[in-house]
Amino acid sequence: MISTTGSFASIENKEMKKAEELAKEMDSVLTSAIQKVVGGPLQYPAQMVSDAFSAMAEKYGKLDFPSLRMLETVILPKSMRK
Amino acid sequence: MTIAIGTLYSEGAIVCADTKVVASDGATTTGSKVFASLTPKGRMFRIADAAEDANAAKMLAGEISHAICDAENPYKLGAPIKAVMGPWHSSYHHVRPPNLQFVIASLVVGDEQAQVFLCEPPSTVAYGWPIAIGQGARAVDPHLSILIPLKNLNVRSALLRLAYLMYLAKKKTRVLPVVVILMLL
Repeated sequence: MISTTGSFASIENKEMKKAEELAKEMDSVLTSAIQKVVGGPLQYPAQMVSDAFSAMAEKYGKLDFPSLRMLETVILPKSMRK
Repeated sequence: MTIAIGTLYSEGAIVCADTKVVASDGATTTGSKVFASLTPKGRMFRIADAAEDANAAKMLAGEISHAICDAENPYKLGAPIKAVMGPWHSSYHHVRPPNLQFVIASLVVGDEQAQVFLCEPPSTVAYGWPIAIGQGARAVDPHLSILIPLKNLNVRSALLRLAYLMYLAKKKTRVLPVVVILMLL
């Protein structure tokens, strides 16, 4: 990624892999929610769907990208900035 | 399956790609397909490819990179890119050139917004975002809207959405093994 402030970062493979694993879980939660919601009023356990999304939100909240800290470092000297 | 996606976020641009590198003889290895360039004038670029010949892609990406770094106008890069891709494509004469596609993110430090565009030899340069290229693009195209709108889309959120799209591309373009059962009567 490149930033308008003049920094750039590359995310390490292992960090993206963790995010993709979480994406797989999210996909499964979404599929399950769709099946429950369209299953009919009696089969729609609202609390269960809501809990599943809350759990995912918590997991996503904990996911860290240490490589993003590279964006805090501006690599271009001041004389080279526009 | 190859895929690369380019998009903007509120303070810049992101380009990501899978790590499957395909050689001209069809052999595959893993490696990075995203390259970075920056110039003393404060221009920054990221180039990712989705290609059926990794060496050709690497070479052409290098030439494109030089062309856009030296371009007079950093906001009009179509002509310098075509000037590089055209001769490369023509050099194959009687042989079909390998399919190559690039997604490029470009910005001038201090600008409010970056640019993202797709390039495909011999002369396609299409601005716009988000963009997905490669075999996996078909699977994620209907979902690219999760990267819009740009407002409040910070870098972390953009990365998480890209990870979801990369997962979808891999899931939907997975080749399932075909099992043939022969029954002998």
